[in-house]
Amino acid sequence: MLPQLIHFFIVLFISVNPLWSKETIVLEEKQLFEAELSLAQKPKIYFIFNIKEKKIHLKARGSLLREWEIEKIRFWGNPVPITPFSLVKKSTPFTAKRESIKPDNYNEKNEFELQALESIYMPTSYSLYMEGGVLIYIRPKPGGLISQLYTLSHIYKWYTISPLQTVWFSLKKRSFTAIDIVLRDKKEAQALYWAFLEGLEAIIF
Amino acid sequence: MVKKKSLVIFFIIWGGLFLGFITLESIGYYIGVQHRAYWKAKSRDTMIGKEGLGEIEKRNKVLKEKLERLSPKGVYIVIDTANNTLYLKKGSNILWQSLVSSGSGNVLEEPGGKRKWVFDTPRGEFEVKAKLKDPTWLKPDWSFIEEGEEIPKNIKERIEVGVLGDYALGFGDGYFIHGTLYTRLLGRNVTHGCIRVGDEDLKAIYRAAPIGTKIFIF
Repeated sequence: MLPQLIHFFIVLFISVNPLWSKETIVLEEKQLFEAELSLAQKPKIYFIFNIKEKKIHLKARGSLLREWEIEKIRFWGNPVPITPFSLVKKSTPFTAKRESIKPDNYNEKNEFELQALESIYMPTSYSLYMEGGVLIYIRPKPGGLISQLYTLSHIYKWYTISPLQTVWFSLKKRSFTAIDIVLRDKKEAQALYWAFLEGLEAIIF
Repeated sequence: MVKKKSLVIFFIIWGGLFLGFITLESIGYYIGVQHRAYWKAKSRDTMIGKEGLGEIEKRNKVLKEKLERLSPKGVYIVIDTANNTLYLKKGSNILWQSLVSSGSGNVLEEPGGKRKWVFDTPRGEFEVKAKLKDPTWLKPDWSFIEEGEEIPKNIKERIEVGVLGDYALGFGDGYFIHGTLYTRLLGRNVTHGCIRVGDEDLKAIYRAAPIGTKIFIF
Protein backbone atom coordinates (compact mmCIF):
# COMPACT_ATOMS: atom_id res chain seq x y z
CA MET A 1 0.00 0.00 0.00
CA LEU A 2 2.74 2.44 1.01
CA PRO A 3 4.75 2.19 -2.26
CA GLN A 4 1.53 2.80 -4.26
CA LEU A 5 0.76 5.82 -2.12
CA ILE A 6 4.28 7.24 -2.61
CA HIS A 7 3.99 6.61 -6.35
CA PHE A 8 0.61 8.39 -6.43
CA PHE A 9 2.04 11.47 -4.72
CA ILE A 10 5.10 11.54 -6.99
CA VAL A 11 2.88 11.39 -10.11
CA LEU A 12 0.56 14.03 -8.66
CA PHE A 13 3.48 16.28 -7.79
CA ILE A 14 5.09 15.99 -11.21
CA SER A 15 1.84 16.58 -13.07
CA VAL A 16 0.87 19.74 -11.18
CA ASN A 17 4.28 21.26 -10.55
CA PRO A 18 4.53 24.37 -12.73
CA LEU A 19 8.32 24.16 -12.50
CA TRP A 20 8.41 21.35 -15.01
CA SER A 21 5.66 22.44 -17.38
CA LYS A 22 6.56 23.34 -20.95
CA GLU A 23 5.04 26.80 -20.53
CA THR A 24 7.34 27.58 -17.63
CA ILE A 25 10.42 26.34 -19.45
CA VAL A 26 9.65 28.44 -22.55
CA LEU A 27 8.85 31.51 -20.46
CA GLU A 28 11.97 31.16 -18.38
CA GLU A 29 14.03 30.73 -21.55
CA LYS A 30 12.55 33.95 -22.93
CA GLN A 31 13.35 35.82 -19.73
CA LEU A 32 16.89 34.42 -19.75
CA PHE A 33 17.52 35.39 -23.39
CA GLU A 34 16.19 38.90 -22.77
CA ALA A 35 18.24 39.34 -19.62
CA GLU A 36 21.41 37.96 -21.20
CA LEU A 37 20.95 40.05 -24.32
CA SER A 38 20.77 43.18 -22.19
CA LEU A 39 24.10 42.22 -20.60
CA ALA A 40 25.84 40.92 -23.73
CA GLN A 41 25.23 44.21 -25.52
CA LYS A 42 27.47 45.98 -23.00
CA PRO A 43 31.29 45.79 -23.19
CA LYS A 44 31.42 44.01 -19.84
CA ILE A 45 31.84 40.49 -18.57
CA TYR A 46 28.94 38.96 -16.65
CA PHE A 47 27.94 35.86 -14.75
CA ILE A 48 25.10 33.40 -15.18
CA PHE A 49 24.29 31.17 -12.22
CA ASN A 50 22.64 28.30 -14.03
CA ILE A 51 20.91 26.58 -11.15
CA LYS A 52 19.26 23.87 -13.25
CA GLU A 53 22.52 22.71 -14.83
CA LYS A 54 24.43 23.37 -11.59
CA LYS A 55 26.96 25.58 -13.30
CA ILE A 56 28.27 29.12 -13.02
CA HIS A 57 29.17 30.69 -16.35
CA LEU A 58 31.43 33.68 -16.83
CA LYS A 59 30.54 35.23 -20.17
CA ALA A 60 31.13 38.22 -22.40
CA ARG A 61 29.20 39.07 -25.57
CA GLY A 62 27.37 35.77 -25.24
CA SER A 63 30.64 33.77 -25.33
CA LEU A 64 31.64 31.49 -22.49
CA LEU A 65 34.93 32.50 -20.84
CA ARG A 66 35.01 30.16 -17.84
CA GLU A 67 32.80 27.67 -16.11
CA TRP A 68 32.48 26.53 -12.50
CA GLU A 69 30.69 23.34 -11.56
CA ILE A 70 28.38 23.48 -8.57
CA GLU A 71 28.55 20.48 -6.27
CA LYS A 72 25.56 21.37 -4.14
CA ILE A 73 23.00 24.15 -4.08
CA ARG A 74 20.06 25.13 -1.90
CA PHE A 75 17.78 28.13 -1.57
CA TRP A 76 15.85 30.11 0.91
CA GLY A 77 13.24 32.87 0.60
CA ASN A 78 11.87 34.51 -2.53
CA PRO A 79 12.54 32.94 -5.91
CA VAL A 80 14.80 35.22 -7.93
CA PRO A 81 13.37 36.90 -11.02
CA ILE A 82 15.37 36.24 -14.19
CA THR A 83 16.89 39.67 -14.51
CA PRO A 84 20.44 41.07 -14.07
CA PHE A 85 21.56 41.79 -10.52
CA SER A 86 24.81 43.55 -9.79
CA LEU A 87 27.23 42.49 -7.08
CA VAL A 88 27.10 45.07 -4.33
CA LYS A 89 29.63 43.61 -1.89
CA LYS A 90 31.84 40.59 -1.33
CA SER A 91 32.05 39.71 2.32
CA THR A 92 34.63 37.54 4.04
CA PRO A 93 36.22 37.53 7.51
CA PHE A 94 39.72 37.52 6.05
CA THR A 95 40.77 39.54 3.02
CA ALA A 96 44.17 39.47 1.37
CA LYS A 97 45.98 42.78 1.54
CA ARG A 98 47.90 44.50 -1.20
CA GLU A 99 51.65 44.84 -0.70
CA SER A 100 53.19 48.28 -0.78
CA ILE A 101 56.37 48.68 -2.79
CA LYS A 102 59.10 50.52 -0.95
CA PRO A 103 61.16 52.39 -3.55
CA ASP A 104 64.23 52.63 -1.29
CA ASN A 105 64.64 48.85 -1.11
CA TYR A 106 64.11 48.21 -4.80
CA ASN A 107 66.60 46.25 -6.83
CA GLU A 108 66.34 43.70 -9.62
CA LYS A 109 66.70 40.75 -7.23
CA ASN A 110 63.87 42.12 -5.14
CA GLU A 111 61.48 41.91 -8.06
CA PHE A 112 61.57 38.13 -7.98
CA GLU A 113 60.69 38.06 -4.31
CA LEU A 114 57.72 40.35 -4.62
CA GLN A 115 54.71 39.38 -2.58
CA ALA A 116 51.90 39.62 -5.08
CA LEU A 117 48.15 39.55 -4.68
CA GLU A 118 47.48 36.15 -6.25
CA SER A 119 44.36 34.01 -6.40
CA ILE A 120 45.80 31.57 -3.83
CA TYR A 121 45.45 34.29 -1.21
CA MET A 122 41.76 34.77 -1.95
CA PRO A 123 39.18 33.49 0.57
CA THR A 124 37.55 30.10 0.05
CA SER A 125 34.30 30.83 1.90
CA TYR A 126 32.52 34.12 1.43
CA SER A 127 29.20 35.83 0.81
CA LEU A 128 28.14 37.72 -2.28
CA TYR A 129 25.61 40.47 -1.59
CA MET A 130 23.67 41.09 -4.76
CA GLU A 131 21.15 43.82 -5.52
CA GLY A 132 17.52 43.09 -4.69
CA GLY A 133 18.26 41.33 -1.41
CA VAL A 134 19.94 38.28 -2.94
CA LEU A 135 22.64 36.77 -0.76
CA ILE A 136 24.85 34.01 -2.15
CA TYR A 137 27.06 31.94 0.13
CA ILE A 138 30.03 30.32 -1.60
CA ARG A 139 32.17 27.63 -0.01
CA PRO A 140 34.20 24.64 -1.18
CA LYS A 141 33.42 21.00 -0.48
CA PRO A 142 34.58 20.43 3.11
CA GLY A 143 38.02 18.85 3.33
CA GLY A 144 39.89 19.06 6.65
CA LEU A 145 38.68 19.39 10.24
CA ILE A 146 38.46 23.20 10.22
CA SER A 147 36.52 23.10 6.99
CA GLN A 148 34.13 20.48 8.46
CA LEU A 149 33.60 22.67 11.52
CA TYR A 150 32.92 25.68 9.34
CA THR A 151 30.40 23.65 7.35
CA LEU A 152 28.62 22.62 10.56
CA SER A 153 28.36 26.23 11.71
CA HIS A 154 27.18 27.24 8.26
CA ILE A 155 24.46 24.56 8.20
CA TYR A 156 23.31 25.66 11.65
CA LYS A 157 23.16 29.27 10.43
CA TRP A 158 21.39 28.22 7.24
CA TYR A 159 18.56 26.39 8.99
CA THR A 160 18.06 28.80 11.87
CA ILE A 161 18.98 32.32 10.74
CA SER A 162 17.67 32.14 7.17
CA PRO A 163 14.00 31.44 8.09
CA LEU A 164 14.16 34.28 10.61
CA GLN A 165 15.59 36.57 7.92
CA THR A 166 12.71 35.50 5.65
CA VAL A 167 10.19 36.55 8.29
CA TRP A 168 12.03 39.81 8.98
CA PHE A 169 12.26 40.83 5.32
CA SER A 170 8.67 39.74 4.73
CA LEU A 171 7.47 41.99 7.56
CA LYS A 172 9.47 44.84 6.05
CA LYS A 173 7.92 43.99 2.65
CA ARG A 174 11.34 43.53 1.12
CA SER A 175 12.57 40.68 -1.03
CA PHE A 176 15.07 38.24 0.45
CA THR A 177 16.76 35.25 -1.14
CA ALA A 178 19.62 33.20 0.22
CA ILE A 179 21.47 30.77 -2.03
CA ASP A 180 24.03 28.34 -0.66
CA ILE A 181 26.55 27.11 -3.23
CA VAL A 182 29.21 24.45 -2.66
CA LEU A 183 31.99 24.37 -5.27
CA ARG A 184 34.27 21.45 -6.13
CA ASP A 185 37.37 22.65 -4.28
CA LYS A 186 39.17 25.57 -2.68
CA LYS A 187 40.82 26.65 -5.90
CA GLU A 188 37.48 26.96 -7.69
CA ALA A 189 36.04 29.08 -4.86
CA GLN A 190 39.14 31.32 -4.89
CA ALA A 191 38.97 31.72 -8.68
CA LEU A 192 35.31 32.75 -8.45
CA TYR A 193 36.14 35.32 -5.75
CA TRP A 194 38.94 36.64 -7.95
CA ALA A 195 36.79 36.93 -11.09
CA PHE A 196 33.59 38.27 -9.55
CA LEU A 197 34.36 41.96 -9.07
CA GLU A 198 31.99 44.30 -7.28
CA GLY A 199 29.76 46.03 -9.82
CA LEU A 200 29.67 43.08 -12.20
CA GLU A 201 26.23 41.83 -13.10
CA ALA A 202 24.79 38.34 -12.88
CA ILE A 203 21.66 36.46 -13.85
CA ILE A 204 20.38 33.71 -11.60
CA PHE A 205 18.50 31.21 -13.74
CA MET B 1 8.94 24.55 47.34
CA VAL B 2 10.79 27.67 46.16
CA LYS B 3 13.19 25.46 44.18
CA LYS B 4 10.28 23.70 42.46
CA LYS B 5 8.64 27.03 41.60
CA SER B 6 11.79 28.48 40.10
CA LEU B 7 12.27 25.30 38.08
CA VAL B 8 8.74 25.64 36.67
CA ILE B 9 9.38 29.30 35.78
CA PHE B 10 12.65 28.28 34.16
CA PHE B 11 10.90 25.68 32.01
CA ILE B 12 8.05 28.03 31.15
CA ILE B 13 10.45 30.75 29.99
CA TRP B 14 12.71 28.46 27.99
CA GLY B 15 9.78 26.45 26.66
CA GLY B 16 8.08 29.67 25.58
CA LEU B 17 11.23 30.93 23.89
CA PHE B 18 11.70 27.59 22.16
CA LEU B 19 8.08 27.52 20.98
CA GLY B 20 8.36 31.11 19.79
CA PHE B 21 11.50 30.25 17.88
CA ILE B 22 9.91 27.18 16.29
CA THR B 23 6.86 29.25 15.32
CA LEU B 24 9.03 31.90 13.69
CA GLU B 25 11.02 29.22 11.88
CA SER B 26 7.79 27.62 10.63
CA ILE B 27 6.50 30.99 9.43
CA GLY B 28 9.80 31.48 7.62
CA TYR B 29 9.46 28.11 5.89
CA TYR B 30 5.82 28.80 5.04
CA ILE B 31 6.58 32.24 3.56
CA GLY B 32 9.36 30.71 1.44
CA VAL B 33 6.99 28.14 -0.02
CA GLN B 34 4.28 30.75 -0.63
CA HIS B 35 6.70 33.10 -2.40
CA ARG B 36 7.84 30.36 -4.72
CA ALA B 37 4.29 29.43 -5.77
CA TYR B 38 3.37 33.10 -6.20
CA TRP B 39 6.31 33.90 -8.48
CA LYS B 40 5.74 30.92 -10.72
CA ALA B 41 2.01 31.57 -11.07
CA LYS B 42 2.49 35.29 -11.63
CA SER B 43 5.08 34.97 -14.38
CA ARG B 44 3.03 32.29 -16.17
CA ASP B 45 -0.34 34.04 -16.03
CA THR B 46 0.81 37.52 -16.97
CA MET B 47 2.98 36.46 -19.87
CA ILE B 48 1.04 33.62 -21.42
CA GLY B 49 -2.01 35.90 -21.34
CA LYS B 50 -0.39 38.46 -23.65
CA GLU B 51 1.09 36.16 -26.29
CA GLY B 52 0.59 32.52 -27.10
CA LEU B 53 3.18 29.85 -26.35
CA GLY B 54 4.03 29.45 -30.05
CA GLU B 55 4.72 33.18 -30.32
CA ILE B 56 7.03 33.04 -27.33
CA GLU B 57 8.94 30.10 -28.85
CA LYS B 58 9.41 32.09 -32.09
CA ARG B 59 10.60 35.09 -30.09
CA ASN B 60 13.05 32.89 -28.18
CA LYS B 61 14.58 31.76 -31.48
CA VAL B 62 15.04 35.38 -32.58
CA LEU B 63 16.57 36.33 -29.22
CA LYS B 64 18.97 33.38 -29.38
CA GLU B 65 20.11 34.41 -32.86
CA LYS B 66 20.60 38.00 -31.70
CA LEU B 67 22.74 36.75 -28.84
CA GLU B 68 24.85 34.58 -31.13
CA ARG B 69 25.46 37.54 -33.43
CA LEU B 70 27.06 39.42 -30.54
CA SER B 71 29.81 36.79 -30.14
CA PRO B 72 33.20 37.83 -31.52
CA LYS B 73 33.75 37.03 -35.16
CA GLY B 74 37.09 35.43 -35.90
CA VAL B 75 39.74 34.91 -33.25
CA TYR B 76 39.62 36.50 -29.83
CA ILE B 77 41.84 36.46 -26.75
CA VAL B 78 40.75 35.40 -23.26
CA ILE B 79 43.07 36.06 -20.31
CA ASP B 80 42.44 34.37 -16.97
CA THR B 81 44.49 36.44 -14.50
CA ALA B 82 43.75 34.06 -11.60
CA ASN B 83 45.44 31.17 -13.41
CA ASN B 84 47.72 33.40 -15.51
CA THR B 85 46.63 31.70 -18.68
CA LEU B 86 45.97 33.20 -22.09
CA TYR B 87 43.67 31.50 -24.59
CA LEU B 88 43.48 32.32 -28.26
CA LYS B 89 39.99 31.21 -29.26
CA LYS B 90 37.71 31.00 -32.24
CA GLY B 91 34.11 30.28 -31.36
CA SER B 92 34.31 27.79 -28.53
CA ASN B 93 37.57 26.26 -29.81
CA ILE B 94 40.89 26.96 -28.13
CA LEU B 95 43.48 27.57 -30.86
CA TRP B 96 46.39 28.38 -28.55
CA GLN B 97 46.98 28.35 -24.84
CA SER B 98 49.91 29.88 -23.01
CA LEU B 99 51.17 30.64 -19.54
CA VAL B 100 51.47 34.37 -18.86
CA SER B 101 52.25 36.81 -16.07
CA SER B 102 49.70 39.44 -15.11
CA GLY B 103 49.45 42.33 -12.63
CA SER B 104 50.87 41.93 -9.13
CA GLY B 105 48.21 44.05 -7.43
CA ASN B 106 50.95 45.82 -5.49
CA VAL B 107 50.76 49.48 -4.61
CA LEU B 108 53.40 52.13 -5.21
CA GLU B 109 53.15 55.55 -3.65
CA GLU B 110 55.32 58.43 -4.76
CA PRO B 111 57.42 59.78 -1.88
CA GLY B 112 55.52 62.79 -0.66
CA GLY B 113 52.26 61.02 -1.42
CA LYS B 114 51.40 62.97 -4.55
CA ARG B 115 50.65 59.99 -6.79
CA LYS B 116 49.73 56.38 -6.25
CA TRP B 117 49.72 53.40 -8.61
CA VAL B 118 47.99 50.04 -8.20
CA PHE B 119 49.57 47.44 -10.45
CA ASP B 120 46.46 45.53 -11.48
CA THR B 121 45.78 44.14 -14.91
CA PRO B 122 42.58 45.84 -16.05
CA ARG B 123 39.57 43.51 -16.33
CA GLY B 124 36.79 43.52 -18.88
CA GLU B 125 36.52 43.81 -22.63
CA PHE B 126 39.29 45.35 -24.71
CA GLU B 127 40.62 45.07 -28.23
CA VAL B 128 44.01 45.03 -29.93
CA LYS B 129 44.64 48.68 -30.73
CA ALA B 130 48.28 48.52 -31.80
CA LYS B 131 50.75 45.89 -33.01
CA LEU B 132 54.43 46.59 -32.62
CA LYS B 133 57.47 44.66 -33.81
CA ASP B 134 60.70 45.03 -31.80
CA PRO B 135 58.98 47.40 -29.38
CA THR B 136 60.90 49.83 -27.22
CA TRP B 137 59.70 50.69 -23.77
CA LEU B 138 59.14 54.29 -22.88
CA LYS B 139 59.61 54.01 -19.15
CA PRO B 140 56.79 55.71 -17.24
CA ASP B 141 57.28 57.79 -14.09
CA TRP B 142 56.38 54.92 -11.74
CA SER B 143 59.28 52.85 -13.05
CA PHE B 144 61.80 55.50 -11.94
CA ILE B 145 60.01 56.03 -8.63
CA GLU B 146 59.97 52.28 -7.98
CA GLU B 147 63.70 52.07 -8.62
CA GLY B 148 64.37 55.10 -6.43
CA GLU B 149 65.68 57.12 -9.35
CA GLU B 150 64.99 60.65 -10.39
CA ILE B 151 62.40 61.13 -13.14
CA PRO B 152 64.33 62.29 -16.24
CA LYS B 153 63.38 65.43 -18.13
CA ASN B 154 64.83 64.18 -21.40
CA ILE B 155 62.54 61.64 -23.10
CA LYS B 156 65.57 59.78 -24.52
CA GLU B 157 66.49 58.70 -21.01
CA ARG B 158 63.17 56.87 -20.78
CA ILE B 159 63.78 54.61 -23.77
CA GLU B 160 64.67 51.01 -23.01
CA VAL B 161 65.26 48.50 -25.79
CA GLY B 162 64.74 44.73 -25.67
CA VAL B 163 62.79 44.40 -22.42
CA LEU B 164 59.39 43.93 -24.10
CA GLY B 165 60.46 41.04 -26.31
CA ASP B 166 60.01 40.82 -30.09
CA TYR B 167 56.38 41.87 -30.29
CA ALA B 168 53.77 43.87 -28.40
CA LEU B 169 50.02 44.16 -28.75
CA GLY B 170 48.60 47.30 -27.18
CA PHE B 171 45.09 47.22 -25.74
CA GLY B 172 44.78 50.79 -24.46
CA ASP B 173 45.89 53.06 -21.61
CA GLY B 174 49.52 51.94 -21.95
CA TYR B 175 48.75 48.24 -21.36
CA PHE B 176 50.38 45.68 -23.65
CA ILE B 177 50.63 41.97 -24.23
CA HIS B 178 54.39 41.67 -24.66
CA GLY B 179 57.42 39.43 -24.28
CA THR B 180 59.59 39.04 -21.21
CA LEU B 181 63.11 38.39 -20.02
CA TYR B 182 61.73 36.81 -16.85
CA THR B 183 60.32 33.61 -18.35
CA ARG B 184 60.65 31.72 -15.06
CA LEU B 185 58.01 34.03 -13.60
CA LEU B 186 55.41 33.06 -16.19
CA GLY B 187 52.36 31.76 -14.36
CA ARG B 188 52.70 34.28 -11.54
CA ASN B 189 51.23 37.71 -10.87
CA VAL B 190 54.31 39.89 -11.05
CA THR B 191 53.77 42.58 -13.67
CA HIS B 192 52.79 46.23 -13.42
CA GLY B 193 49.54 45.49 -15.25
CA CYS B 194 50.73 44.34 -18.67
CA ILE B 195 50.51 40.72 -19.81
CA ARG B 196 53.91 39.07 -20.23
CA VAL B 197 54.09 36.10 -22.60
CA GLY B 198 56.90 33.71 -23.58
CA ASP B 199 58.61 34.29 -26.96
CA GLU B 200 57.07 31.43 -28.97
CA ASP B 201 53.58 32.02 -27.62
CA LEU B 202 53.85 35.74 -28.28
CA LYS B 203 54.86 35.11 -31.88
CA ALA B 204 51.80 32.88 -32.43
CA ILE B 205 49.44 35.40 -30.82
CA TYR B 206 50.94 38.30 -32.75
CA ARG B 207 50.47 36.47 -36.03
CA ALA B 208 46.92 35.32 -35.32
CA ALA B 209 45.44 38.48 -33.78
CA PRO B 210 44.85 41.40 -36.12
CA ILE B 211 44.07 44.93 -34.96
CA GLY B 212 40.53 44.97 -33.55
CA THR B 213 40.78 41.48 -32.05
CA LYS B 214 38.64 41.32 -28.92
CA ILE B 215 40.43 40.71 -25.61
CA PHE B 216 38.47 39.55 -22.58
CA ILE B 217 40.31 39.74 -19.26
CA PHE B 218 38.95 38.37 -15.99
